[in-house]
Amino acid sequence: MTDHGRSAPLARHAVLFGFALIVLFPFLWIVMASFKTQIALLMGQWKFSPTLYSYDAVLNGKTSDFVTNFKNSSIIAITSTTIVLTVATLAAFSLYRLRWADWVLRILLAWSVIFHMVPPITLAGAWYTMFRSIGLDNTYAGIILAHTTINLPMALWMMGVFIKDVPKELVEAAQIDGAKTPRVLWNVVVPIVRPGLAATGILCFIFSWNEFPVALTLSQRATATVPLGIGKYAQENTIAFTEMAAASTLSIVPAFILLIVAQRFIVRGLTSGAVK
Amino acid sequence: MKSDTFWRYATLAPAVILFVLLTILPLFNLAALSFHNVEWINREAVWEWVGLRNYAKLPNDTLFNAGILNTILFAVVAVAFQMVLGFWLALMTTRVTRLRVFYRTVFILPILVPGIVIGAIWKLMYSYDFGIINQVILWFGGNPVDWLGNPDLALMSVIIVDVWHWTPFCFLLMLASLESLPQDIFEAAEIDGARRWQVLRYIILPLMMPAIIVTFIFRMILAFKVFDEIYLLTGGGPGTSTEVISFTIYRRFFTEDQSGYGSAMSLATIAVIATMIILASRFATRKGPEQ
Amino acid sequence: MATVELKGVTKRFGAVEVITNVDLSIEEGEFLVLVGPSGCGKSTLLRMISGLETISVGDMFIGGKRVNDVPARDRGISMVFQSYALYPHMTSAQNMSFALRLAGKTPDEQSKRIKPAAGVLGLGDYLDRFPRELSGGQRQRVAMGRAIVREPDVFLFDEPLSNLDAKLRVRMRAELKELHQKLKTTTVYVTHDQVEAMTLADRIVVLRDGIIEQVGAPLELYDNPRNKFVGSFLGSPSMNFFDLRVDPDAPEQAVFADGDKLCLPRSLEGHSRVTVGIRPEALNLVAEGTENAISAKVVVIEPTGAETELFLRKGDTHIIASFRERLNVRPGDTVFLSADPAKYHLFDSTTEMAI
Ligand SMILES: Nc1ncnc2c1ncn2[C@@H]1O[C@H](COP(=O)(O)OP(=O)(O)O)[C@@H](O)[C@H]1O
Ligand SMILES: [Mg+2]
Repeated sequence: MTDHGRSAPLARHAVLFGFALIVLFPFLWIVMASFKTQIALLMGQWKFSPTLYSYDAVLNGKTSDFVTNFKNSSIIAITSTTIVLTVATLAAFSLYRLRWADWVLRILLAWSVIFHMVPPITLAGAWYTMFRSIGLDNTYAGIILAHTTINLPMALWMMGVFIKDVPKELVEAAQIDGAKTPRVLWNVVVPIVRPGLAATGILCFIFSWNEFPVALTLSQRATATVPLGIGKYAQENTIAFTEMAAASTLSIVPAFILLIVAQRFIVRGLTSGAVK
Repeated sequence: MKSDTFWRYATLAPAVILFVLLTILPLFNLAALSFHNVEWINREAVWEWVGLRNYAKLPNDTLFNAGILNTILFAVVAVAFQMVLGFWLALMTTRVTRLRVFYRTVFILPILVPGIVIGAIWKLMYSYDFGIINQVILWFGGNPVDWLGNPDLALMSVIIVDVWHWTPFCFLLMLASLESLPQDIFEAAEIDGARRWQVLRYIILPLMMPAIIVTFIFRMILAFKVFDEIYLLTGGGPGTSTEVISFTIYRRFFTEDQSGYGSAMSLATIAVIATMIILASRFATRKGPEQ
Repeated sequence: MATVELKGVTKRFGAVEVITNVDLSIEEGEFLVLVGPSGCGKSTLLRMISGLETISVGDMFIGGKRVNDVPARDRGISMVFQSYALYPHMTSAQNMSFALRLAGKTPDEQSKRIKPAAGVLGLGDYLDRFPRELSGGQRQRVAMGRAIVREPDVFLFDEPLSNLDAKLRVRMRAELKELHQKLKTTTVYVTHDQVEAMTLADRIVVLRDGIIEQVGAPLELYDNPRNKFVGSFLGSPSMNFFDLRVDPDAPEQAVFADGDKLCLPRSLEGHSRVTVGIRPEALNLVAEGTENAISAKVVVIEPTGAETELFLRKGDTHIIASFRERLNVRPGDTVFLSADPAKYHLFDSTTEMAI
């Protein structure tokens, strides 16, 4: 009945499909570019014989750090996600189910919202100075801590939404059944919010994987992440465009796989957590 | 009860400690730095007190001024386009049920891709010599355009990238909100004889206002953080035409190694952005419910 | 099994006092029902007994031991919630054995305790099902099973039947009573439904605005309500009240505005007004001119089969009367009602206390 556009169904399909094409085309374009030779790309050839040359250069090239970048990103994203999930779940459970005074809840949430609004680069300088003075610069630990902190407000918010959905009576029933706080959390709350944990975890992982400015300031070659690896291509005097395309394509793979296999969690996370 | 009290504190403590050590302490650190010039000698920071001089420099810093101005321009224009486009597309395509999963996958994809990759993709597409956009222009008989190298165009080019990047997200949220509206309201309005634009103005818009506001705020916050795409596409140039505030801070603090001055700039930025976002959301929420 | 004792118990949420100075002692094996309108503090009182809510002022004893500072898990109680609060990710059996598992009982011991409980509740076939696969009544039983297997000293129920449909509610009510007769565990049961209270309780506590109005056996409260509130709260349909003038010349007589008179069971010298309460089933249809008869106009007749209820009006006052037999009256008829003066309940018009 929402016939506001007064467009026939076919026209609607066309609009939506066109929109999807516009969104999708640049991705197809870069994937295509990654299979071209530099010459084919520069000549703007549409017909070309696909080559794995760029992938070979990215993965096996002597000057390429991409494999290291990939390893670094995996370590950093997985560790920081694990930590942030743990910290946020504990805190959300504590805040919403262990009867904190109202002002505690309000101050913590308000602060986390304010911090979430501020560009992370503004704090990166302080992080850099602090980490450097205690030897955490250019270490995994430094970036992991930073990413954990950056993702904490969102994780806290999302886990709060999911934990508030767990009826208070369940927690009380468990307490009466003899469960102390860790048991209540582990045996009752966590199994119930597992989908929420998945949604939050996936988003935290992806955001950590994608994060650029803070990783840029806190790491050097040994701890550089995937986005830094890609960023480096653009800084060269002669940009190796096809290699940049290949590295970009590879960097999307984890998010793409997650999007295919865990879409319902991502949708749930984006709609019920990140923005609600 | 003792055990309960212990766990109450123990469960909240990690988050509080993380916040204190990594957000509040750094703020004090920034404040301290901003009154000094700092030099690193053999991994030892040497602090030299300069009082308010770092802050005094800010208003005359062309990069800083350009950064603030461009960030606001970028955020306002990009987000406005995304909201309007997303809303319009949602209106146009509501109730299309075929290929749902495909569409959703496509529209979520840009959000999950690293900003730096978005930059890389468009760097290729905007390329003066071989970019697809100029190829198409040539094919139609036009002259190639220097999208990223022309100071008058660069910011617009960057905004286009952001609109492409985030419109699908706005669209998805608007669509979800639109489709969750109760259908009988539209029928009632139709029976009441409302015209199409009246339905839009008096029914759809007010009902969707909460979703619109939330999307708007969410997008504004992110837009003010813009960095990755600019880093890769233009590096703030040409000149100061795409200089955004995050980039300026990065440059002053890290590239030029002016920790003290960079800190002053960071704090000033935090103050400016916090004020603006609070004002904007105040305005938005005051506008919202009275509808 | 244990006694429960409350001494001067008060509960405040911030500045709001929701339970005021409650003294109550519950005997071993007793089935005590807390009843009162919604929001009067029944759940709060029950939750203080359970340990889920702290006590602001006063003392609480279970089995003679002061438990103010004892956490819920160590009070030897188990509780059935209105929403049942079954763990959605556990089967019926796991729900019931969770407490035993936490207490470190072996799987053998666990099933030894679950089996009889499941037998009593007829849950044998549903042990491997998850809550979402059970009907409302079955969930209710699992919740009771979970409470039983802990073999608590005290059972606490918070409106456990409210989420069931009317028919099932009546059946579960009977099962609950049977269960209590079998186990003889001290039970505190919260409900807003006076029928549940009347049918289940050994003793009823009527609560209003956090204050105990009256405590006693169901029929004792029914026959001798201490005030107008208790009188009106217990019994269905509700008691009729008439606000009457006491004849100053003949203080054993109360006079209606329209001149009808009631002969009171005793003289009310010194009172100018009185509220007379008469239960609907105490009213009889009589012929005009009978002593103590009052006239009223029939508004609606509701035959329920077993009973007939008459909704009448006398001036501005609504009257309900219920009869065992079928009646030959029609809306608009004027009829005459009277009741045995021994069944009058007299209340002070201003304090609403029984006199
Ligand atoms: N946690 C709480 N905080 C503040 N007020 C509460 C809380 N729990 C209950 N109340 C208030 O206490 C009163 C009694 O509530 P409750 O015991 O749930 O009533 P009942 O179970 O008799 O319906 C109500 O007015 C309720 O609003
Ligand atoms: Mg209640």
